[in-house]
Amino acid sequence: MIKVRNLVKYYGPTRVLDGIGLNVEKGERIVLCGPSGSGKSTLVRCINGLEQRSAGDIEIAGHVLRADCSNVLELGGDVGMVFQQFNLFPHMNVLDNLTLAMRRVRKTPRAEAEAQAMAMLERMQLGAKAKAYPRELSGGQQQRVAIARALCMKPKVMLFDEPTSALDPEMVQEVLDVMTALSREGLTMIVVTHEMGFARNVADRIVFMDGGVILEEAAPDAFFDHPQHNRTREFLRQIGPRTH
Amino acid sequence: MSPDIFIKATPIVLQGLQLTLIITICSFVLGQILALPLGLARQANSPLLRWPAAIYTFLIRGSPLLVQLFIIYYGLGQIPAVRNSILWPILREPLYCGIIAIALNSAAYMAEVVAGALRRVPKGQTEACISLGISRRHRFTDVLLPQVYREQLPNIGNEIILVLKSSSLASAITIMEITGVARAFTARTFAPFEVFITAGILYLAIGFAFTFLFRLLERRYGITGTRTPAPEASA
Repeated sequence: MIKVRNLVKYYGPTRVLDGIGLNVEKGERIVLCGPSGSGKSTLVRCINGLEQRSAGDIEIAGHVLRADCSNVLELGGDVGMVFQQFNLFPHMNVLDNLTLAMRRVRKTPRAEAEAQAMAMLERMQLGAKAKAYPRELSGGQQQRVAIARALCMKPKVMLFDEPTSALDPEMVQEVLDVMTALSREGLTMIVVTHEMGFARNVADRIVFMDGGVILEEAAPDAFFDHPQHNRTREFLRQIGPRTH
Repeated sequence: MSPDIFIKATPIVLQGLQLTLIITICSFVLGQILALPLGLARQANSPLLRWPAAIYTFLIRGSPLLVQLFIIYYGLGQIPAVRNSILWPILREPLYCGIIAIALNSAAYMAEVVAGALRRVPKGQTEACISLGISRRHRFTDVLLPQVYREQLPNIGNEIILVLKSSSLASAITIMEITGVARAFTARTFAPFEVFITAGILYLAIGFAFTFLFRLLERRYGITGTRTPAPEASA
């Protein structure tokens, strides 16, 4: 489903990704973690073409992404993205946020798009908020709307870039619950997160990055119970209290 | 100061009202229309779009409107090619020249406003569009520009007041709008104080009406989630 080979990315003179290789099978759930500045966000943003890369090959959901990302719109909707800052369209109500891409990209007629969007909102227990504007929602609700918006495009892969980092603590769980439910439906997912409890419950594989390289990849139990690298042990110790 | 000159001046000055409104509204609308492509060009990646727009706004904003009015009305007519062109019936008329000059001026200022507002739309909006596969065109028409114009409603409301005030310069190219008739009337009565006070009050009243109109528009449309919601009239 995702093939990344020898991905290199420079920001000016700084090498933020240094030869990343990553294969993700259909239905696999990957949690990407590592200290801040390790390049994990940059990696997901390269994978869906939001950042140009300096070298390497990326194939995702059947699309070969050009290095200059000039064909990024081809992935449109096949690769759903959930951002730390939600990035909902502030001038549209929730329903219009969900249906815009369905209507413009998938050419779904409005009535049908709205019916599908309403069903999606019901599933997220946000049916009552269809006519609300993003600013009238809590952070957790906004992020669930953002997830619903991506899901409406029936993506083959979902990427989550620190989806709970901008949330007040009491709202983290509702978003994680939605993501956990999704993971049970066999959707291919890559999640950048510091929520290690979520990682242990949901991930098939945990990928640990540091300094622009993948240091360690393992199933959750092996990763948490027998980390191989010193850097990994150090990271887990620092983040430890959040393992729940 | 004599009250009956005020009373006499009022109907005279009101004769200019229609032309002032025509110039203001036409220039404003034309300016807004021109400002959008100019503002987009100011923000374009291609230098072939960016530079001409930058030069245009530099020239227009850097020189007085009165000078531009004279150039368009008196200057262009000197060029035989202009006199022979299909545009001559338009450029011959002072009213059209006035509208064009003020509109070109307003467009230059509004282009900067549009470009600045586009720059301020968070990058995440574009990224969300890309990740959903929304094309460049729809990104502008559905996501970026609606946010730009909603955010800019107060500035657009200011702009129409500026255009209204600029319209008084049209009197310099023989147009008998409010200032024009006021000048002609003073030449006859030698009572500039009363006449121009009357004209000034009329401008204030028109400006107030426009301001009120834009307040209504702002209340209706001027919402964005990027700032704290304006206190809305509770239903």
